Amino acid sequence: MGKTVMKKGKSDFSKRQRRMAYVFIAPAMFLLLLFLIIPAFMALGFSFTDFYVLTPDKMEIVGIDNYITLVSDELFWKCLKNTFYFTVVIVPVEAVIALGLAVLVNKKSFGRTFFRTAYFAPVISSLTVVSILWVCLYNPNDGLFNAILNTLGLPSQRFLRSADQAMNSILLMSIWQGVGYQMIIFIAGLNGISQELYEAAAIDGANSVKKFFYITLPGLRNVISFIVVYVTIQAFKVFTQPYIMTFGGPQNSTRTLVYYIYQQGFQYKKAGYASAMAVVFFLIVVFASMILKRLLIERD
Amino acid sequence: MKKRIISSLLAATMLATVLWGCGNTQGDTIQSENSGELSEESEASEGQEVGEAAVELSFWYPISQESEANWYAMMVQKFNEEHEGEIKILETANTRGESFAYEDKVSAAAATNSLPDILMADGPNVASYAYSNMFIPIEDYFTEEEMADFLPSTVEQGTYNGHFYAVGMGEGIINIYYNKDMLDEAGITAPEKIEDAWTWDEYYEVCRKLTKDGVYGGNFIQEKSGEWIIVAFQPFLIANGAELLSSDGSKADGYINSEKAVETGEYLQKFADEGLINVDPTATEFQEGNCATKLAGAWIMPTLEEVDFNWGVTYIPQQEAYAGSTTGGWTVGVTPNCQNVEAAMEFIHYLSSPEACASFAVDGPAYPPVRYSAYELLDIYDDGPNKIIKDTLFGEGKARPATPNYPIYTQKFSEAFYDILLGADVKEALDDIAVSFDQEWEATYAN
Repeated sequence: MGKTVMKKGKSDFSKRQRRMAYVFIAPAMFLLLLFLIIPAFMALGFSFTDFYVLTPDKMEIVGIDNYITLVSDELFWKCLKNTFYFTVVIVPVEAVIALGLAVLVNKKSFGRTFFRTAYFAPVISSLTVVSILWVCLYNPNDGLFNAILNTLGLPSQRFLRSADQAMNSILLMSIWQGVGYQMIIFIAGLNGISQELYEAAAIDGANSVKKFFYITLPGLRNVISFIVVYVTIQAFKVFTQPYIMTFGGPQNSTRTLVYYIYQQGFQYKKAGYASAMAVVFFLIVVFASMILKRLLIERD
Repeated sequence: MKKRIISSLLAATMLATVLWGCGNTQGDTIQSENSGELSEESEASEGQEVGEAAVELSFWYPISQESEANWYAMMVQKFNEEHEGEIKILETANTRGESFAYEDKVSAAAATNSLPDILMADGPNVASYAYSNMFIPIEDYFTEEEMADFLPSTVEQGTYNGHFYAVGMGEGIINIYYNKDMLDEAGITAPEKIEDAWTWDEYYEVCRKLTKDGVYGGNFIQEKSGEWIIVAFQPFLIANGAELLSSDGSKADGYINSEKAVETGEYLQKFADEGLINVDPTATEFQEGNCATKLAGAWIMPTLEEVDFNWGVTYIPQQEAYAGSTTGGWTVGVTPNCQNVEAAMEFIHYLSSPEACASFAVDGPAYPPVRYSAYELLDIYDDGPNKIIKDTLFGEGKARPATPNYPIYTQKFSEAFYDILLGADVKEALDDIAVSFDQEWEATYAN
């Protein structure tokens, strides 16, 4: 069409724009459909069968048997508890640390870019690689952390090899890895708060603490709710860390829901039961997100 | 207009990339690093004038031990050269690692009906695969002589429900490998005859004596999860008179959680509690000289060629006069997908011939051969460490339980025993194995 000025009516132009929008979205929608939506419905279907992966031809419909088994499956509830614990700890801790870092790193000080990069670097590292590295750091005998503890005169800890410490060890590593991402988002949010508000508050004699609680936090309300919902959903899905670092142990203390679904589906080949768990997992996540949104989203 | 072209091009590129990425078929996916050059050669030989199309068979093997994987790749190459124009084996190597990644891949193939023609399976999985019709019986392709030439433990491993499904080349067997220098220094001599094997108490004392200066007396953990744990600890259970499962492989309660089994667990836990073993060792702790004795399979021997200390082999500690060991190894069988079973069996015979078994021991992962006649081709088993290994295999080798419900059993066993080493309550951990196994059996196989 070139440079001809459009003399036609507005509606034609916006129709063209909308069609272009659909064309742009189409590839993504196609992929989503193929790899997310259709398999999700397939999982729903499989959850009512006794699908055993090695014998797909012998699959039969068993109604809600899988769901009934699920309710009395102790390990399922343990995994749920572990996953909840992980989520409930990581969301506030990560958010608070990230906000703190963002505030610190937002000031125009020397080395600001360096620190931003340093805090963000773990995020872009592969979670798998980071997990393997931290296994070495946590090694009860030769790990760096115990070496540091010993130098300070403290006894060695078992970290990942202790049923009491394993989950918290994984949490520590996960927080370290993920906090940079939220920090960047908080930085963006901080920069979105008008400077005039701070100046006005300064004129009124507010100190830094008051400024933080009365200007910064309210101004970040939407960013905080986004981060809380996002991290919650991500935290529910935790799998890589326990899979690599602790294999779900010791004593199932780090076995998360997704890990258990993987084990049932892939190791024990019981795809029907795993699908039922996946459906329940999906409902839990959706439910949790809805509650959070209800609590957090600013009503304008 | 430009926008539309660009967006269409982008969409097309994305679709093409997705389809290409997902469309990999067998035969041209992951080749092991060493067969990278191999594929070029076989490509070249394929390009030559061939009267009739060669029968192409797909073959999957695991990368479990590096030396083992290299041997399979080498055998495929040699077979393809010798059978040029007739049969061509298209190989795919899949990693196994400290998990069951290879088994996962096989399961995915089974679910989508895309199993290869010739499939390798770890011995204990044969029952499960046979139950799920992933292998076809192949006893008709072996003469009676040939069957008698196989070790009983090998035949037992590959048999399910009266049919023979899969054959191996070498029997894994575990022993205690020791650092001779450290033992000499402490004035300890390791037993050379199976009757003289250390008792449980004696081995405990040995480890106590040798644990010092940052060196551990023992090492039980080659891998913290996966198949290793059951291989390592089955002999201790059997030595104490405990059984892993009922003889028909259908019940665990009363067997794996019997009093004798609990005793075994407590014995093993003692080593961890008192710091005689490292609960989180590196895979090469023994080679690095950081432990005095190590529970390991014959596959460790190729890696010991370069260590700077003298080493020896002895038997697993005995209790009640049994110094046994776990046998088992990777086997190969034919799937129902195979269109040309004769050709497939030709390859399988090639892999499991006495010469091949001998080569497996010498050029491969050093597993003792599964065929009696192979031992006549070798002299390495006449003395030294290999003789001890052979004595262990012939005398007290015992396969793992054959049951279609094996995947749950080994997983729970692995979790339970590693937990035990980390300090868990032994009875509870063993009860958990029993409950899980029995529940699953009731739900799936009890009909």
